Amino acid sequence: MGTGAPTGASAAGAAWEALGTGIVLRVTAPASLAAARAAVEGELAAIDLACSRFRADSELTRLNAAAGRRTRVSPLLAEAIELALRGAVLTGGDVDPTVGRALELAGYDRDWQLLEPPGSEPAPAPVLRARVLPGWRAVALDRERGTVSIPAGVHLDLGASAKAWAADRAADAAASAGGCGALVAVGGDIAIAGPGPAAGWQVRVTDDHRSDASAPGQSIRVASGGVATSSTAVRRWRHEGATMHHIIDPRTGAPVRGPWRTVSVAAASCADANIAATAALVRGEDAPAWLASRLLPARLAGWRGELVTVAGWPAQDEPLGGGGAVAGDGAVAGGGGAVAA
Amino acid sequence: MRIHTTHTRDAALYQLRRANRWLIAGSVLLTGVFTEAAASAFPGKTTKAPARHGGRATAPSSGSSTTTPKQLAPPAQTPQASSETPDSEAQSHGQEGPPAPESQTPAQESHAPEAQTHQESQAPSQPESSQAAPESSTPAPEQSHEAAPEAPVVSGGS
Repeated sequence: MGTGAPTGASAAGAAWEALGTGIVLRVTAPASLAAARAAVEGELAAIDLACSRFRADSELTRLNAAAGRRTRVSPLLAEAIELALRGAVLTGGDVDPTVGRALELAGYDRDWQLLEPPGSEPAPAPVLRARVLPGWRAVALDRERGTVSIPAGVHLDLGASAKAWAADRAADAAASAGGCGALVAVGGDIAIAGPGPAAGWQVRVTDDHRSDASAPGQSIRVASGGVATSSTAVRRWRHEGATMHHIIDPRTGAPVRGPWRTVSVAAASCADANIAATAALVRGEDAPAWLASRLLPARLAGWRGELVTVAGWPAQDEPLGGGGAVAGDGAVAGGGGAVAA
Repeated sequence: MRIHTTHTRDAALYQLRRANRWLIAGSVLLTGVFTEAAASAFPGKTTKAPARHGGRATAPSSGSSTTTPKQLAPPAQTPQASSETPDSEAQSHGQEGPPAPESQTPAQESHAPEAQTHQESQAPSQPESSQAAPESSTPAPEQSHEAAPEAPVVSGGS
């Protein structure tokens, strides 16, 4: 964050829909908003055309259809695949781009807003197991020749990394086009570029990126890099009688069932933050120690209401229960704030 | 008719041995020449890390690459606590449902030596019931609006 940058009060912003999710743009110079937005829209349109699994005309769709053969890809898609493979390497396979087939078997074969919403009754545990789980090591990417080869029957899904990567690229593009500081959020994955407000950008971490800023969670200020949140509490749908969600455990091919419902991570880039947040959901109980060992500030919210922060993530200093709000199970939550364990 | 003596036989064998030596030496020499020519015509390429984009982290070259990847990079500055608390938070708490029927939650402290553990007193959202409200409020794909620049940007699951 640069010094002497404008304060948040002089910032300007816009919000719209792209990549099947919500986009938020903030810039420190209101006069630069139009140029910054045009840059963001151009970047996101290019990434959508390259990386969407739901567009018949996307490069990724053609690549998946050509599984088993070496296929030439654009530098943009090659970079996206490279990032996804990097995520797999750095997480020991917790984040694996070859779970595309498993997601399709789970019913996630179209834009999730078109899927059957989950019912209100308690959901049975998903028992789905994908038949084809070759793992990321089966993907051969040749950056020099611009080709990718994936085994027959394998479908790549870049959802675990591409949106955050898009936010990084879009924030860079916005900052360059506008000559100012910029924040771009793509589906709740936030990237920052250029000199930001003096006190940092204000961010609210919560379960669902479509919530408003009053949703239960935590307010923080972020000066640089990225913040990403992954959650199994959102993007859920019903498929063959079971409630599914989009975070797949590559080792089982089934939606993750772990202790955490939402994990937020701050990192030098939004892509890294998102890789770590998704890996933490998959990793489960070991996630706090894993994140701490990598010095990645993180906030992990559990299904039973427990909250863990690691590596310098600020402690929850606002009243957690809103002065004794009644939880859904009838218990009265204490309003005294965080309780140290 | 020519008479083959022992002397002529030995002389012929000597010439054959010499010829064999020259053939072997020549073939080795030609192999080296052709190898050098092929190496010059089709030079190999060293695998390089791709260009960095915007100073952000990069990826290895392939799934089977032996390139040592960088670690996930921590932020230059850790997030700071914000003193601004949304005014309407208490209203939202009242809409919270009970936790989803997950039964695998372990004790967290034993797995996070450096972690601070708190008990979040508001109940977590039940995923199934909380899904409907945001979905109905999602704007149409082509809709756009100016965002309030003072409001926090929400980072949440998507």
